Amino acid sequence: MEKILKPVAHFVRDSKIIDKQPHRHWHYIYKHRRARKLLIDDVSTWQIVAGQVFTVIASVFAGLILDVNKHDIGLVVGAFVVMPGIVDLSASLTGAMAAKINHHIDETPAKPINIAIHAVGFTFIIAVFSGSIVGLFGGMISMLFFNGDLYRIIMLGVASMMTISIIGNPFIAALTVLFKKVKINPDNIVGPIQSSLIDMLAIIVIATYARILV
Amino acid sequence: MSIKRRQSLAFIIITTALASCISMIGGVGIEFAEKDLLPIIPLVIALPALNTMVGDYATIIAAHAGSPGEQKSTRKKLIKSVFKSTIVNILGTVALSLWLASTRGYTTTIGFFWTFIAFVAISVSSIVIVMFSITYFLDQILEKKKLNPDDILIPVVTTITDVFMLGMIALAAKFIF
Repeated sequence: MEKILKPVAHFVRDSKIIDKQPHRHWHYIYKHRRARKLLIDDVSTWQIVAGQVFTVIASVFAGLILDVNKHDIGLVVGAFVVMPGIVDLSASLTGAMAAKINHHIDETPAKPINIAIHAVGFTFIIAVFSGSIVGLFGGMISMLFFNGDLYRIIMLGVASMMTISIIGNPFIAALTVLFKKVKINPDNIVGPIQSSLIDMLAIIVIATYARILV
Repeated sequence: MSIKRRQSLAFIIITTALASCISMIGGVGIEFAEKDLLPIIPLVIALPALNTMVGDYATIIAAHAGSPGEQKSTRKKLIKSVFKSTIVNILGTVALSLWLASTRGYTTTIGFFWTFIAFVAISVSSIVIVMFSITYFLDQILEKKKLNPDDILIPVVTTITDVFMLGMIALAAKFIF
């Protein structure tokens, strides 16, 4: 029993420490990207080019996935309207989450695993609420301009954001903790991996829900 | 939960959702041009790469704003780095998209090949130039108003570039290809 209760008690204690930190989403994205910008200034162009090469290859493969699934996505009228919103939102949330984990590990005495679990949970809550807003807005646009179904687009927005958060965020959080453990700055390396993986995942998830919702 | 924390949560939810809602303007363009765009396989394959590429540059350029002293010493380096990186990205995106499209059964004509290269090169370079201009002007406005660029510049610049890129792809599918 004690084996179960001890980690829970540690998590509660660490959550209180993390909760005292400010929740500044854009600030973390800024920090995350600024580190990559400093990489250009201080080291060499080729480091950023290497990161970009990975991003290009991975995002072109995301494009291939889009091409394979394009007819499924097109089954729901307005899905192409909401798709950039979902992709943009999930990339932004996951990016901020990774940067937040990295900086909370540096700035707080909390355990990295607890920081990661807390950040994944926090991002999931944000994803559900902002996914609903994106779905509602996309649904209204689709209804007004393309005679789309408001309910389907809201469902597509919320379900996609929830699924992407459940699958993608724990993986990116684990990756961030792992890079931190091997003394590689996650700000420099997780960015390209995260943005491309989330792109691919988002397209697959949207296509899957489009098939279900038809 | 404290009022401050509730407010910061609401702020994050509203600003992230709004930034993504504005990105959907580009999605409207894609939905409008759906019938013209979907058969152009190389353009569909290149779409996420182009979008990610300009989004990445937008944040890198926007992150450059802030300290005027630092800006002067590093602006030239940033322009050089972005220029080199853009060339690598454009060539990589074009080559990979055309290759993958051929594996999906798309036959590329010489006319299409040159139009595609020209479209990718012109659209990405023009967006990078627009980003530099927006960041420069917006940064000056924010400095005058004593607002923190951390919270405003990146969402504004990335959202604008998303809309521009998707809009250009939709227009190209409708009128160029």
